[in-house]
Parts: sequence; structure tokens; C-alpha cells
Amino acid sequence: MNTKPDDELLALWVEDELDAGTSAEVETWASTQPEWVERREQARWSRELLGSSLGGSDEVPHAEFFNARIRREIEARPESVSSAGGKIRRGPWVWFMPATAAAGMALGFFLGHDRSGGPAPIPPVSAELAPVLYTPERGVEAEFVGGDEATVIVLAGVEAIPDEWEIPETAMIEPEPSRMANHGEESEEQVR
Amino acid sequence: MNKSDPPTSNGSPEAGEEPADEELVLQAQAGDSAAYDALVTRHRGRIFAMIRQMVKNEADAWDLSQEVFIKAWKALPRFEVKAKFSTWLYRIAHNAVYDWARRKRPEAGGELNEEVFGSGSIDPASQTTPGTVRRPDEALRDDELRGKIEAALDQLSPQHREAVILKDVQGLAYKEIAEVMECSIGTVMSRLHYARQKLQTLLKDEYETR
Repeated sequence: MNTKPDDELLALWVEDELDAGTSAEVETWASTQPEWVERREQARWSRELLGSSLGGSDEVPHAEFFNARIRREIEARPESVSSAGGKIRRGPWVWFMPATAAAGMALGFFLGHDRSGGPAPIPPVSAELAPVLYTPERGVEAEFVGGDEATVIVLAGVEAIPDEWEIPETAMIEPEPSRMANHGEESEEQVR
Repeated sequence: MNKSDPPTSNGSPEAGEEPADEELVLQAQAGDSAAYDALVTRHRGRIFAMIRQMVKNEADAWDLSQEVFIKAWKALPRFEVKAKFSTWLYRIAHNAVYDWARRKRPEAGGELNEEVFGSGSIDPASQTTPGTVRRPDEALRDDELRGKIEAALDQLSPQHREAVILKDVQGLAYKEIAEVMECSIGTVMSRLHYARQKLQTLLKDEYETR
């Protein structure tokens, strides 16, 4: 090849991505061009240095938790991937959808309109979130037991807590009824 | 390359090994979350590495990688299997990184600059550095070199840095980089050329002792 090859071929030659035959053809021209020879040297050096020092794949910290969080997120919205290959089946009922939506909005407005003057009711929780248990320590297994009155997480395999370890005070302090009553009296006195 | 995650970059299995990306994608598109979990496990290391090298902060990279896989799941019905899944993920990662930069510096009016991308720094001895067992003197030398390279990459513009990371670290082809960065092959070529020239100047000692 005595004429200049196109840019894409030259780029692939610089990156050593051409097959042997094409590479030899491009080489005939490029090897006489110091600028392109230099480019190829730079590319080889950069690939070697960066590729060996940085690494294309890193260990994701807490990899199991990484996957578990994604799983929880996507399982919370199963409708995201609802139809294989994105094919959506449409039926004749699709024509009623705008009218149904308009009727729904009107009904929603009517029900939501505050006629009593009282506080708006708190909507019920519609979905329960399944907890994701993650134990960073190997050999430790966690089990979730949820009941109406209590929620318990059992950790099996954790080292025993030494006796001398004192559990610091927690933020959960029961209010004392007498202090609250006194506080109320003080407030009343101040008002007076 | 780290040994922790499967190093399959193209997702094509060898005989008797794990299913190909295409197969897992089809299963995931049919709603199989276990197949998607396998795809996450296969690609998380590379996506995390690419994002981490761009944002230079492990915690942000972790969150952004999560965002990438969740967005990919949501967009999966629109993904055409004839395209390469890994390139598609890099494309989502590219958008996530640039959105993150815009969120971080809204006063810049969407302009991306080195200040945003260069605000953090990766500890060369951090948890996500290659995890092979090394002799202390080798480890020190490798960490020093890694630190020098990270510092040199900091000096590049975000576009130049991304091009060189995608090419020289992640090993993407020109066409794939053009797809990920939404630019022409000529632009990729020019960005790579300037990035490497600058790296050569900044890492002169390394270049001369090659």
C-alpha cells in the first residue's frame, strides 16, 4: 500500500487490531511515517502500563450485599420486565383505557376533596418490604423472624460477647410520668 | 486483573462453561431475576472499576454501579440481544457518571470539568486494588506506580480519561468506545492520541524506561 490508508485502518493498525494481511499492507505505508510509528509505540506502552497497573476488573466491596440490594430493588418492581423481548400484547380493551383513566381521575378528585374539614386519612402501607440480611463476617448466618409483636434477627456463629464489655446507654429512654407531670405543672405556672 | 469476579469481558462462554450473556439476557427479559443476578455477578467488577477510575471515590463508585444495574434492569425490555450487553452496560455507566458529575456541581450548568472528577483520590492500597499476594517490596513499588498513574490520569480531561480507560484498561474496541461515548470513531482516535501524548509527558520516567 503506497497511498495513505483511511483513518480507521490506521487507528486499528496503531492498536495492533488488524489481521496479519491487512496489517502488513498498512505497515508498508505507515512504517515510513515517523508520526504513525510513534503513535503505535505510545499505544503499546499505554496499554501495557495501564492494563497491568490498574486492572480492568476490581473486587466490588461487599459483593454479596451488592447483588442482594439490586435483587431487592428489582423484585420490588417485577412489572419492569413484564413482557419477554418487550412485546406488548394489545387487546380491544386498550381503547377504553383513556376513558377509564379520566373516570378514575374524576373519582379520585371527588373522593380526595376535603369536605369534612378534618385531617386527611393516612394511606395504608401497600407493600411490605422484605428485609435483606447481610453478614459481612464469614461463618455467621442471620435469620429474620418477624411477628406481630416483635422482630428478631438471630445471628448464628457470632463470637461470644465478653463479660467485661459494657453495653453503652442507648437512646431509648422511657419517659418518666412524674417528670412529665411536673413539666406540665411548670408550664401552667409560667402561663399564669 | 483481580481474581474475585469472573473476568469474562465479552460474555462468550467456553465449552461446558457458564451460559453466554445473550442467553442470560433472554432469560432475564422473560423475568428471570436469577439470570439477571448472574449477569450482575459477571459484569460488576468491570463496571465498578471503570466508574471508580472515573469518579475516584469508592463509595460513590459503589452507589453508581448499583444505579447502573438497576437502570439496566428497567431498560432490559428495550435491549436488543444482537447488541453487546457489556457495551450497553458501559454506555449506562457513562451516563450515570456524567449525571453524577452534573448533580455534584449543578452550578456548573451541566458543564463537566476536572474539578468534579478530580475531587477525590483513590488510596493505592485500598480494598479494591488487585488482590494478588505480593511481596512487600513489590507491593510498595506497584502501589507507587499505581499512584503515579492515577495522578497522571487526574490531569486529563474527563473525556480523554474515559477514552484511555475504556481502551487501555477495559480493552474496548474503537467502535464500542464510540458507542459508549456517543461520538465518532475519529473523535475517539483523536481523544486517545491526545490522552496518550499527555500521559507520556506526565509519566516520562516510565516511558523512557520501558
